[in-house]
Amino acid sequence: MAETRKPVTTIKTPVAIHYNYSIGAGQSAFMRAIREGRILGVRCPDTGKVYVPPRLTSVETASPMTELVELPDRGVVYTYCIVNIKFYDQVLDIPYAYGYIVLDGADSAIMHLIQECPVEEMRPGMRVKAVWKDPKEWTESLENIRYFKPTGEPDLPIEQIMNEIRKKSYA
Amino acid sequence: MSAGRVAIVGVGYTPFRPITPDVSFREMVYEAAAKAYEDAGIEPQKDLDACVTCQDDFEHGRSIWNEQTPDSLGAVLKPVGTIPGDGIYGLIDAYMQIRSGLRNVVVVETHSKASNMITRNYLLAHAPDPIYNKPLSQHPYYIAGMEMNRFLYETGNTKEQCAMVAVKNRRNALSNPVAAYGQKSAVEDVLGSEMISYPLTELDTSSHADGGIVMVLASEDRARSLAGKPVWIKGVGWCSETPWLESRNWGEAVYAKLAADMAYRIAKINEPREDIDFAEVDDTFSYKELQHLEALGLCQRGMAGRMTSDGVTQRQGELPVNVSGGSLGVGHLVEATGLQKVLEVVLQLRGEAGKRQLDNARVGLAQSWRGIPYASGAVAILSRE
Repeated sequence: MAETRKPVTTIKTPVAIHYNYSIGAGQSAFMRAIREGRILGVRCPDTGKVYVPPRLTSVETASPMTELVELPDRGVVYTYCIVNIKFYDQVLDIPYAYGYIVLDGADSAIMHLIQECPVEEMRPGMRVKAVWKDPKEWTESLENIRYFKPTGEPDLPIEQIMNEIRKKSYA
Repeated sequence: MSAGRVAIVGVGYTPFRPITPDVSFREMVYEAAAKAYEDAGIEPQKDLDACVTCQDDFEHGRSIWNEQTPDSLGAVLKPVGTIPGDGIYGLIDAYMQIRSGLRNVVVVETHSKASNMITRNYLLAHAPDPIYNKPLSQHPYYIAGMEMNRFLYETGNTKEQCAMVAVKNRRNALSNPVAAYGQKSAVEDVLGSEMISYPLTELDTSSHADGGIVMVLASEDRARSLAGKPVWIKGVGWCSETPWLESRNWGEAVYAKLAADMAYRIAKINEPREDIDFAEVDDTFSYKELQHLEALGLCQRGMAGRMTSDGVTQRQGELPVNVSGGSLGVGHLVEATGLQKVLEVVLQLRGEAGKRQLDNARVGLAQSWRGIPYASGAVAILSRE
């Protein structure tokens, strides 16, 4: 029996599951500190490298890491991009810059927005610092930092960036 | 490397608990892994050739989730295989990597963080066919109720005998310090508990638990050079029936039968009832233990209920079944469920099962079922020698 009418192509079948997310001891320390406007990392006992946010075990050696280290809220942009399309439920105006920022004294980066900088002036090596929300609004969230902005200090030279990246890489 | 026998040389696990709000999945996996490496006497970065991890994204609310595992396993920069299925499938994958001569030491990881799912039964409710089975928004346990009803009808096993399974397994769990749901109960308690989906009651049904399990597998050469007691993997098998509920065999667990046939063939076991000393079989629902015992050839069809009421499957019986407490007593560990069964077999074969240690544990069988709404599962046969 040949079907000549238009095919039925889709049906509605909604999917939703709701979750909690256990953050664990390592992230708990970070969240408690960021609530107070401080940024915590953790030092690897084998390599001395400092990971931020803190995590339970060393990426390289799998040793437990327990020595918490407080870090300054400023550092260097290693890479960045300019986001130019909107995503579902987007609140930021486009274009905006997103950066991979290595805080001074850290060996891993945190990812955050970079603002107060024209997109055409964004560059690796640029020094940036955190712009915090009003302390009254602080919660257990990385969103206590609104974004990072340029400090105006001299850039980290490109050769030094390459050396630093080699040093920080574990591969 | 030479292809040959494969052993489980180390196991590590966290206690199985209804909730674990104080630890992240990473911390849970790390604890299990650190214990497994200590047990095996290996250093992960130096000794591991590869790892296999078994989880499903929906359990965690995070996409492409199983790629999270390497850090917690100390397996960064190593080959990682991700299996979105039950832990015994991961064990089989690792077994094949070693058996084929590709690797010497492989770690298998799986865990449950089921307590993080607020609307947990949606995990099952979103599985049935969206065109034909899902539109009426039934509670997904209707599938278990229908299967139980047909199984009892075809085999002559009874609801009371199913209830005896639930009583036995929760009682066994009282002797397992890491089991979450140990309790003394009576058949009447099970039959009188809330009716979920006739004939299935609340106490015929396992409850979820959290926990991590990690196992280290090694080639024979490597196993011999390690200090611990190796437990040998003698045979493995797995099988999937059609995913269509509409054309399934509801009275018999054919997937378990065919998976067992494969495992027995590899293990050169002709008389399972003679050669298998004890078994940890899937008991997500009480009737599944009976259905699986029949499919595994550990009793004749229609005789699993009788075997249970006669006490054969008790800890002191001739064929102890789910001495650990099973999923009814330990807690259902989602994709970690199968490896919990393997874990109990390993502990029994090593003589390390404490208060619940069996006297004559020489060869044990572990079996898993993927769960509602599917008819698929895996079998592993382990031996002391």
